[in-house]
Order: sequence, then structure tokens, then C-alpha cells
Amino acid sequence: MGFLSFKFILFIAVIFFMFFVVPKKYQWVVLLLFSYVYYYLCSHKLIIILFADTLFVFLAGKCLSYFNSRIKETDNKETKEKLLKKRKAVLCLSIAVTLGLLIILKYGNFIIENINYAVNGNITFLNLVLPIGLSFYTLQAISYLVDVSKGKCKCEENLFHLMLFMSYFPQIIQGPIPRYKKLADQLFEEHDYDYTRVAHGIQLMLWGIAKKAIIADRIGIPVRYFFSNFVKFHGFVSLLGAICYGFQIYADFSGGIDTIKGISEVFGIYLDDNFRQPFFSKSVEEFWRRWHITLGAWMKDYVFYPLSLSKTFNKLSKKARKRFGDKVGKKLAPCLAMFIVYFLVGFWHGAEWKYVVYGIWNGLFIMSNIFFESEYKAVLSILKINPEAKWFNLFRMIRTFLICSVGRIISRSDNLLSALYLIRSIFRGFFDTSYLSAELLSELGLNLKNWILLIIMITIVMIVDYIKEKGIDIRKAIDNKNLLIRWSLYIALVLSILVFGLYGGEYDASAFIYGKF
Amino acid sequence: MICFFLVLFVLISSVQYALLYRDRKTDNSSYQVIDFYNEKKNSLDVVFIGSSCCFSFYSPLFAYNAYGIKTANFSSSGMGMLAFKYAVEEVKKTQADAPIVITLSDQDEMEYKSLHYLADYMPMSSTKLNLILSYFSKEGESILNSAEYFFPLMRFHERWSEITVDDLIVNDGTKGATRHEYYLDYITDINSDYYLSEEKLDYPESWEKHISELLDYCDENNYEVMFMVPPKSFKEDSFKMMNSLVSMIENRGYYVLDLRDKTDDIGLNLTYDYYDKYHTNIHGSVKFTDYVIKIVADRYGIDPKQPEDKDFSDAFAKYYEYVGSKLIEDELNMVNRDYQLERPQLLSVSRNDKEVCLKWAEVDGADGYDIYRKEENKWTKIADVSESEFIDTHYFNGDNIYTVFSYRSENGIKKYGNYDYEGINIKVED
Repeated sequence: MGFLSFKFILFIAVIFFMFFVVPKKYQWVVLLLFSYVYYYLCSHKLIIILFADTLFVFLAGKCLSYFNSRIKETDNKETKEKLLKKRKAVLCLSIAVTLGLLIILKYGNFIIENINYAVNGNITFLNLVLPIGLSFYTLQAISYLVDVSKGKCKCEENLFHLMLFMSYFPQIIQGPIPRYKKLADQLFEEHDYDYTRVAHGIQLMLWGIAKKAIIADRIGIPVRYFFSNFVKFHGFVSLLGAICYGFQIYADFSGGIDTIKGISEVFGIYLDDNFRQPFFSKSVEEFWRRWHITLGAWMKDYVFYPLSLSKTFNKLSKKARKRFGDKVGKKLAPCLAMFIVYFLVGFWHGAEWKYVVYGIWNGLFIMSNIFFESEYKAVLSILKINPEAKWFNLFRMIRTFLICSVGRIISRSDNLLSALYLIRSIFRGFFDTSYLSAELLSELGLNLKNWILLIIMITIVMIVDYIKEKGIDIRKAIDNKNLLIRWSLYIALVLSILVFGLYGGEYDASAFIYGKF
Repeated sequence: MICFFLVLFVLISSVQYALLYRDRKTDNSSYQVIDFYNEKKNSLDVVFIGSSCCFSFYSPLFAYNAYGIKTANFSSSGMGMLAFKYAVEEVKKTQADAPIVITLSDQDEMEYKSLHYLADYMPMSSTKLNLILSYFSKEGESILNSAEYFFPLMRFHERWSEITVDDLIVNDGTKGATRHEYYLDYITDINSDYYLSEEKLDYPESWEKHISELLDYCDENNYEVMFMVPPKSFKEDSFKMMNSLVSMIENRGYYVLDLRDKTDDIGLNLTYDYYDKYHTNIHGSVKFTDYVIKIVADRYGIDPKQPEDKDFSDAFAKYYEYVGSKLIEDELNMVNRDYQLERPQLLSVSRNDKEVCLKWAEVDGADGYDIYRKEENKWTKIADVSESEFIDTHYFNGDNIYTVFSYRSENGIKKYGNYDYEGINIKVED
């Protein structure tokens, strides 16, 4: 049941109504019921896996909490150490089980394929279905268990509360990835009906739908053609194809997140931002602090810091300092941890080597930034470039945009060979357009009016992002305008979605790019 | 808040209306329905209901031109038996006294697009609501999928990039008369697809359900309704099932004009009067209309020589501007037609020095032949001969397309038979 279907709109209308009609203390029950109904409608029998996973996490959390209280109570150092070890063992086991489920269901066949290739084996592939949202709620579960273990959040005593946290329908399919402590407070508290909040939520929802239905789904048509027929193109046209994909995935993903956040806001639940004007990033590192923010934050808190602050990495750092000197030694551990993070980021995106390479592509730029930070500063100084100059920042944004666009070629292409061919083709006859016939252009699938609409809409999105980059809250700014302007904007938004949106008929509006995770 | 939603509703309705599909030049799926609503209340003598089999066979404007009888088609592509009852209900809202002729074909259920062709252009009413709900109450359908019939914008919004000024023309004054290219230009030989049989087979439950509901409804309201089965191609089983259905309807006391074995009486030629095996072309439509309207007028006591109706006269004149080039003017003079008179087989056209010689096979019973040549894409009469040969000394440089219209004389009046619609061409290059 996609966000752009009549069924979903009806679903949302019913849940909005029920949420504000029931006694406030039962609002979370409404959310839980509808979350499970939503999940069932999307995944049918696979709902059992969600429930089983939640039950396991609940029991594991209770076990960890038990150890925490015992550790707190005991003064005996030896007993404490034993309890700490047991708690660690329970934590590792519960993470292993939770993560193991994801690995088997999502990566099982990938692992088998590579083993077969490596040893010329003939292991049969598993006939498994990947439950929707598994990648997301697995990370949620792990963060919950780690936070309980560390005492950062309390253990949830009510199984149904935890079920809601794990299944909360607006975000189960494509995030953002919440932390238990922050979300739980909101999920279970009572929410009044507030006109402004509800109106803002609906506005955000409509904005998200507009991005998805008008830009993402539309630009997806020529992008699909381009990547299926990349051999027909070269030069800057190939680069344009990659850039179009960048806009597609941004509009699709951020549109979905805005829709999700808008729905949540109506309930009075504020989810974390997952995008913060990523195309204004001046470096790849900054890009990943602005793109899929909650994934980056999760990786930072549960992979990067644990690794880089671990004893193993400390020892490695010391050895590196002895062998390569302070400068290298100091940076080696964080670089290695960063490499692992981006290896995992890539892998998380999909069970194919191209995603791993995609992750490493981004990781390499970030690592080089860490490693050669002082060298970059020296070059700027020699060239007398003011790093805060507007033109230089613009250059950095364009550079970062192009680097990320090339990286996306890797993730979007069918395989690594295709990606390599495509990247190389960009540099072949860069300015050559002689091969572009009217027939080839028409095969891209959009007429001139649609291209014009796309350019207008992308420009509007960029302007909105620019305004947000300046720290202006657009919805509040619109609230302060007169009635005519406000109504004109709202009506224009609704009519734009209804007229220009790609929905209904043969358009599959539910195919969010990140939905398969 | 309420004002906001009212303004939004009005704007959405306007946009939705503008985006509804209305290309009269390439498609005719809905025009009969659209323009039916432009007819004045209780102004029609008869209303025909049915699918494209109705509007491709029967032409209200041809009927009016020949006999002055005012009729209309409330018909849309793919209209199935499921929709007949609702169509009758809808027609009776504005044409309470007009008898109704329902064109039967072997279509019981409707495809989703056929429901659009009808429902999108019906004003919102309980009839429309019941039609849509009836469609979605059948097995395998979900009521949630009906949303696009209440909000056609869901289906047609993509048309924003194709919309032209023509789309915004609500009423072009031709009463929805058929003028898509297949109807005007195509000729298909359907002899091998035309099946006849007197055998009967049991028809599906869905036929029984829909037709029984229709007949019950007509009985309750005492409506004057008759049925018509057009002379089109049916599959073998469908043909036999239709035989059974015709019997059922007749047993209920309703008259069925079954024309499947009447092509000779009508004058329809299976070789050149159809554009595909289910529909006549414009030439076949002239003959069919002539035959049917006389029977219907006789049955319901409609005076064939009525006072002129300016609305219909204007509509015919406008329609003729569009389709006139496809016809010979005398072809529409139905009162003076003899369809049994064969069309002359054009044998040859050749050039000798400064003349073009056209020859054709003589037609039994023909007293003479009108010779026509295409001039500025219209058939223009250039001669009237009694022999089966014509010499043209005023030919053009370039294409010269000729045809020959056979006639017989009766009390000094020409009774026209048939002609070769495509003609024969000779290209002269001096």
C-alpha cells in the first residue's frame, strides 16, 4: 500500500480521525493497531517475523535490564565483573540474533553466490522473502538493546509499547531510524488536537508527496531508460543522466521522509530530520551528515565510536604511531573505523558488490579528508584561497555534488562493469552531442512540457532548500503571510499534486527507492 | 477552513473538467453521451442506447436529414448490458416520453475504460452512483478502486501536457456525431468473419441478471423500449447465445429487431460497408440508419416529415462540413436510394492523347450512372451517362480519382444504388 494510493489516503484519514476521537490514554493503542494493520497490508504473513523479532528484543532488553540492576546493586568487584561479562554476552548474543536474521534474509543468497564463485561450489540458493522494513527495524532494535545495556534508556516493561516502537507505521518502510528514548516519550504521551500543528503536518505531508509524485516519479522515467541504455550515451549527457538520478533519489527519499514526518507531526510526534539540504554540502563528509542523517548518526554511535574507542583500535593506534609517526598513527584508527562504517553503509544499501563499492567510494573521500586535512589547508594557503570565500564554497558544493553523482552511478547501475563503463563514457567526447537524435531524445520518455515542469519543480525545491539553509522556517513564514498568499500557496500545492503528480493508472506510486530496505 | 475547502473543491472540479478526454477527431468513445446532455428536454422522438455498435451503425443526423426525425444516441464505447438499466434511467430524466431502442451485442460486463467513457460524462446522481457501485460489486473488484470514477482527475491528470484548445470545446454543435478516422476512411471485408446460425446456446448468468433487471425496471415504469441486434460479426457461441437471449426478451413481451440476417434487405455489403467486423463505416451507417429509422418510426407512429428543427439542421450542416468529403451528396438522400442496385465495378481508367477513358461493368437494373471525380478532396459530379464508359477531356494534371454511382429512374426521379467509395485513380503528368 503505497503513500500515493487512494487506499493509503483513506487509511490515513481513518487513523487521523480515530487518533483524535479516542480517549488520549489510548492514542498509542490506535497507533499500534494501525501500524500492525499497515504492516500486514504491506507484508501479509511476514508480520510474524516483525512480531517475533520484537518479542525477542523485548526479552533480551529485560535480561539486560536485569543485569544492569544487579550490577548497580552489587558492590563486590568480582561479582560486578562477572555480571558485566554476562551482560556483554547477552548483548552480543541478542545483537547476533537480530542482525543474523537480517543477514540471512537479506544477504544469505549473496553470501552463497560468492562462496559458490570462490570455491566453484554448488550450494542451493535460499528461497526467502525479505520482510519490508527489516533493515530499518533491525537497526532500531540494536540501538535499543545497546542503549538499554548502557543505561542510556530504560528497558521497556510493556511489550505492546515496544511493538509500537518497532512497527510505527509512518517510518517502518524507509526511516528515519529513531532512538528509543527520544521516540518513546512521544509515542506514549497524550496528544491534544492543535490546529496549527495539524495544519503544519499536513503541509509537510503534501510537500513530501509533491516531491515524490511530481519530481521523483517523473524524472525516474528518463533515468530508467538512461541506465538501461547507457551505451547509447556519452560525454556530458551521461553526466546529466547521473545528475538526474541524484535528483530522483533526493526527491524520492526526502519526499517520502517529509510525508512520514508530516503524518507524524499531525499526531504530535516529531521524528528526526533525515535530510538537511544535502546539495549544499561542501565535502563528502558534510554530505553524509546531511543525507540519510539518522543512518549516519546510527553508524557513528554504534559502529564508529565503539570501534575507534575500542581497546583493539587503541592498540592499533599505538603501534601505528610507533611505526609511522604521530601524524599517521593518530589518524589511522579513525580512518580505519570510517572505512568500516562506509563499507557497512554501502552493504546496508543492498546485497551486491556495487553497493559495497559505492560505500567505499564515499568512504575514501572522507578518509582522504581526514588524512590530508593539513595538506589541503596548506595548498589553500599557498594558492591564497580564502576558504570562506563564496566562490570557493560554491566550487566545493559543485565538486561535492559531482563526486556524489559519480558515486550514485555505481549504486544505480546494474553491476560494477556497467558502472565503470558509464563513468568512463562521461570523459569520452564530453561536448559531443551529434549522436543525439530527436528519436533518441523521445525514447527518454518525456515530452518537452514535462522536462520544463521538472526544471521548474527542481528549481522550486532548491529554492526552498536554500531558504531552509538560511535558517528560515518556511511553514511559519507562510503562516505570517496574508490569507490570499497562504491560500494561493496551499491550493497551488494541492492542485500541482493532483494535476502534475504521477499516480493512478499504470504508474506504480508505491515503488519508493528506499522502500525495499 | 470550510471556505478554503469550497474554493479548493471548485478549482479541482474546474481543472478536472478541463482535463477530461474530449478529442473528437481521433476518438468517439464518449461524444454521444456528452452531447446527449445538450439536447433540450423532451425534444427527442427516439433515443438509442448501446455501445459503439450503436453509434457506428445508427446516425441521428443522417436520420434527421432524410426524414426530419429527431433522435439521439446515448451510447459509449464498450457499454455493456450491465449499464443498460442505468442508461435508460438516465435518458428518462430528460426525455421522459421518448421510446428507447437498446442495441444488443455480446458485451455483458465492461472494461474499466468503458465505464470511464460513460460515467465520466454523466453528472453526479444516484444513477451514476448505482452504476459505479454495480460495476464494483462484481467478483474480483474492490470498491476502493472506484475512486477514479468519482474523481476522474485521478485517471486524466496526465493529460495536462497534451491539452489543446479543442479539448476545452464543450459543445461543437454536431450532437456527438461519429467522425473518427476508422468510421470515415476504413473499408474491411468481413465476409469470412460473418457467422449466421439458428441454433441456440445457454447464455451466461450475467446476461440473464442484467437483462432481467433491465426488463423488470422497464416493466415497473411502463417504458416503451425495443431491442435491436445489429448485423455485425459475432463469435459462433456468442451468436447462438444471442439467439437464446432474443427469445427470452421476446417471451417477456418486448420487440427485438434482429438484423443479423438482414444485410441484404438493408443493402449492407459485407465487403465494403464495414470498417471492421463489428462496425459499419459511414457508408454502411447511411444504409443502416435508413432501414432502422423507418421501422422505428412506423412502430412508434412518428411522423417522418416533421417541421424543421433548427438545432438539428445546424448540427447536420456543421457535421457535413466535417464528413462531406467522404460522401457523395446524393448518398444521403435516403428517400431516393435503391440499395439493391449494385455498385459498378470499375474496370479501367486509361489515358489516350488528350482524354482519360473510364470503363466499368454494367449494373443490372441501372438506367444510368453519375460520374464523380475528386476535386479538392470532395466528390464532384462531372457527368451523367447511360453507357458504361466515360471520356473525360477536362482531367487534371496529377491525380484524377473517379467513381461511378449507379441509379435507376422511377417516375423521373433517380433512385441511387451504390458506388466504389475509394474510386479509381489515374495520375496524369504532362
